Amino acid sequence: MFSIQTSSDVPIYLQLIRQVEEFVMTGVWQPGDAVPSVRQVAQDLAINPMTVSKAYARLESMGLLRGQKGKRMTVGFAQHTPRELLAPAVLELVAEAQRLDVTPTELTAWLVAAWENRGV
Amino acid sequence: MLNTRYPLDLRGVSVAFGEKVVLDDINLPLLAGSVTGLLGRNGSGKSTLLKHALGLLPHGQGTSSIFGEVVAMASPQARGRLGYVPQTFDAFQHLHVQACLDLVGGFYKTWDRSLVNRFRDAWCMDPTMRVDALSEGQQQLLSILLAIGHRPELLILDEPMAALDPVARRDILKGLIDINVERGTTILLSSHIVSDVERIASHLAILHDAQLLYHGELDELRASVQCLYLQGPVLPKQMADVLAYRISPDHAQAWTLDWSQQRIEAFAQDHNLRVHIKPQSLEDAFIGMTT
Repeated sequence: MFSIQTSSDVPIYLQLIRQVEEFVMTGVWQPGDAVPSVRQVAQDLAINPMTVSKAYARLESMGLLRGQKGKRMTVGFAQHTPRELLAPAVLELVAEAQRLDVTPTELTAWLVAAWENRGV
Repeated sequence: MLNTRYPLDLRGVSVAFGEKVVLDDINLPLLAGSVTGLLGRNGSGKSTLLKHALGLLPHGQGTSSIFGEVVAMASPQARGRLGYVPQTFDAFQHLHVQACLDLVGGFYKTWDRSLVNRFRDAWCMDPTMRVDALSEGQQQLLSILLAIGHRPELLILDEPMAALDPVARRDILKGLIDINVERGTTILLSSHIVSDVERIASHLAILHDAQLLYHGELDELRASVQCLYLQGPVLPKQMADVLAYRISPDHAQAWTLDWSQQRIEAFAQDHNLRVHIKPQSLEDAFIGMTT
C-alpha cells in the first residue's frame, strides 16, 4: 500500500502521513475502513515501528484516523465545519438568485421563511 | 533488579591502540526497545565500539554495561540476554540449516525452538539446504537466527548489510524489524549505508574520528540539522555547540542542531562572515560531517 523513499528531504513519517491523506482524499480508503496495523506497515516496508506509530498518532490528531482501545485504527470521517459543507449549496443558490435579479434582502427573507416552515 | 531502561550503556569509553585514539569519551545509552544505527565510515571505530560493548576488549577507560552490569564482569543471566551477530559468518559450512540450528540450540538451556522455526519459515529458509549453498543474504539471516534463539533482549550486529545486494539487504532489514516488532528487542547495528539505517532505526549514533558527533532520535536530527556554509576574510578556527566543523581554504561548513535564525545572523555578524544555509538530507549530513 505505502511506498517510501529514503535519502529524501521528507522524513519517512511525513511520507506516510501524506500518503494516508491521499488515500483518504481519493477514496482509496473509505471512512470506517480498518487501516493496516503499525506492526504490519513496519514489517512490510522494513521501517521502524515507532515511525509508523508517530505518523498514525499525527493522523489521529488531524482526525483522519480514529483509534479505539485494543482495536485496529479506522479511517475517520472528514472533519468539515457546517459552513464548509454548505458552501457549495450557498454559492450555487446565490449565483442563481443573481441570475434572476433577486435582491439579497428578498433571498434572506425567503431563507428565513423556509427555515420557519412558512413556505417561500 | 537488573536495569532494563538502558539494556546497553556506554559511559566515558575511551580506547587507544598505542598512540592511536580509537574511541574518545563515548557515552551511548540505548533505550530499551530502540533500534540504533551506529553510522560511521570504515575505520571510524565502529567495530571497536561494539567489541567494547560486548566485553571483548580488556583495555580502555570507562565502562560498558549490559542490563546494569559492567559487561566484563556481567553475570551469566545478564550475558544470556545479549545476542551478537558477527560481520562474517563462515562456520558450519558443511551442515544443513536445521542441523546447524539444532547444534547451536543445544548449547542453550533457554533455546526457543518454536521461535526459531517461525522466523526460519517467515524468512523462507529451507532447513534441508547446506549452509554453503545459501546465498550471502540467507547466510546472514541464518547468523541472525542463531543469535536470537535464546531470546535475547539486546541484539548487537556488526555491519549486517555490508557485502549484500539490495534484495538481500532488504531481507535483513525486514528480519530485524520482525524481531524488534514481535519481541521488543533492543537492536544496535553498525553500518555505513545511510538509507538502510534511515529505514529501520529509531535512533542514530554517528561516529567519526573516535568521537560521537551525534546520538539521539533519527527524526530529530533530520528535522533540526542545518549546514551553515561560511565565507569571509577570516574563518573561525573552531566553533562551539556544533555537531561538526570543517574548514576548507575558501570556506567553512558547520553542522548545527536547532540554531535559530537570529543566532545564525548574530554569529555571522560577530565574525564578519557571509552565511548560506544548505538544506540537508540525512545522507548529506552524514557525508558532510564525516568527510
